[in-house]
Amino acid sequence: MATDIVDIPTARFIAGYCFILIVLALIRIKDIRLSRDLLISAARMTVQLFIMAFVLKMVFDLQLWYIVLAIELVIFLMASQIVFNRVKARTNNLMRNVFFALVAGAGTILLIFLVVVVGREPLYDPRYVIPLGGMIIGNAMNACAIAYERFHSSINRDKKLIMTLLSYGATYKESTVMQFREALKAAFLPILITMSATGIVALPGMMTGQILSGSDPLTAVEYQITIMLAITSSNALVAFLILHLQNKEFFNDLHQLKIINM
Amino acid sequence: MRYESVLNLSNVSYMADNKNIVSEVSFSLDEKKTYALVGPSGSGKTTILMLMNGLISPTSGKILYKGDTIEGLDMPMYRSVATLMFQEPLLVPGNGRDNLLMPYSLESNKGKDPSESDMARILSECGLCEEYLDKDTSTFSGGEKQRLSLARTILMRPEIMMLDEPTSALDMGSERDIISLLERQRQHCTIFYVTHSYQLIERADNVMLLKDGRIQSMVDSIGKEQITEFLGDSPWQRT
Repeated sequence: MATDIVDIPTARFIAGYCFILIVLALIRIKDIRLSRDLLISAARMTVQLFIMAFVLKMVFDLQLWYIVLAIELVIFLMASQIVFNRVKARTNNLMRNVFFALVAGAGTILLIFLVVVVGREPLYDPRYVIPLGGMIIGNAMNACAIAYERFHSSINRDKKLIMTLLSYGATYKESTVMQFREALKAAFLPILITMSATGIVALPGMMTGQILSGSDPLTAVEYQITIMLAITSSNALVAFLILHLQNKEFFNDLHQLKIINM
Repeated sequence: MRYESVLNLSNVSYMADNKNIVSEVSFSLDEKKTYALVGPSGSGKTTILMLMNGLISPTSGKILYKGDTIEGLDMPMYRSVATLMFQEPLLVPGNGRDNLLMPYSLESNKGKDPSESDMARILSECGLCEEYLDKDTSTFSGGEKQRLSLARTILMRPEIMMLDEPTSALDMGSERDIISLLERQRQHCTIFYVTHSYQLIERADNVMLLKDGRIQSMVDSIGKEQITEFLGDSPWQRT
């Protein structure tokens, strides 16, 4: 098994930008005014990733627990902000609840993964915490947004049925059992599809990266399987937490639906 | 504790979007009496029912259940004894039995489950045969849905039964059956219905006339002509 990492020489790396010429040619032929956007996006991506590479290199060299923790907290905050910006209907405590759901759900799963699966000393080794955290939090962020959006829209759609249940003596939790279930299912679905397609339709990014960098494919597969299971679990936990926290926000203490007049 | 009436509304007002929907409404409901609320569309009838059921809270004024303000009570428990049936019958997915049993899956009604024979009897009293217990509700007509919804409410044996247009989707024959069923229910509970049906209005112990969110008058009986005059252009559902 070859374990040499093939570095990309600078000239060949620059040659990689030739791929963009194909897009530019197609844009020119079909007269789509996107050339400027395309060049700006490619330049942004280049600058951002190089900055990220330097930051990661510095963090990997420093190996300080509080820097790793600070980076993870920033990632959690940014993920919460992205969810908040993405959803249309925002309740008062949405940002706080999303942050809490992500930290409690994805954070717990990340910690378990680092302790049980990776088992390295120190636990906060940034070479593991940062990429694994990114994958788990990134997926949890999507699950959180999907769960909340679906929950809100189904409560709005079914508000007459919810009112009927309330009028018979249902608590707010009992009145939204069906919508809760529907939203949880919607949040699960993308990761279920990804899991069943993994290894057939596409090789996942992490596994591809490990193989390219010279890892044994079997080790790469083991990492991929465990991370997929961790992502599934984290998505479920985050979706459950955000639904549980937001369910309360739609009602007041008298089990009255707040969005009745929306 | 002694209380004068089972439910009491005192100067109740409700505002939404800076608009008065209900203004200074006051009335009391006595045990085992029947009340009819009559008014043109948009006069605030359904809002009053929702206020009485605790689904919304008054902007000002008080609603007392046996002398206690309802907002201080365990709200799900209160709603299970002061139940509201909406005009649009909303059924949960499943068959007739699933819908009749739905309220008993709730914590506030636990342990009160009706027997199979109780369910069959109430269905028959509402004009639906026993087969409707196993029939999927997605195949029900509008009238059948309304009768099942009414059966579900009556089966709960609430102390106060609030009904929003309980016969609006029924033909004349079915309406007569439901009226006699409601007559029998008054032995057990207080009935408060919003209606446009004169047959229901004339059977009420007390009739309240509502216009622009205000009670215009409360009478023990009222003639059809007076109702017609009060409702103006509002068409009779049935005469």
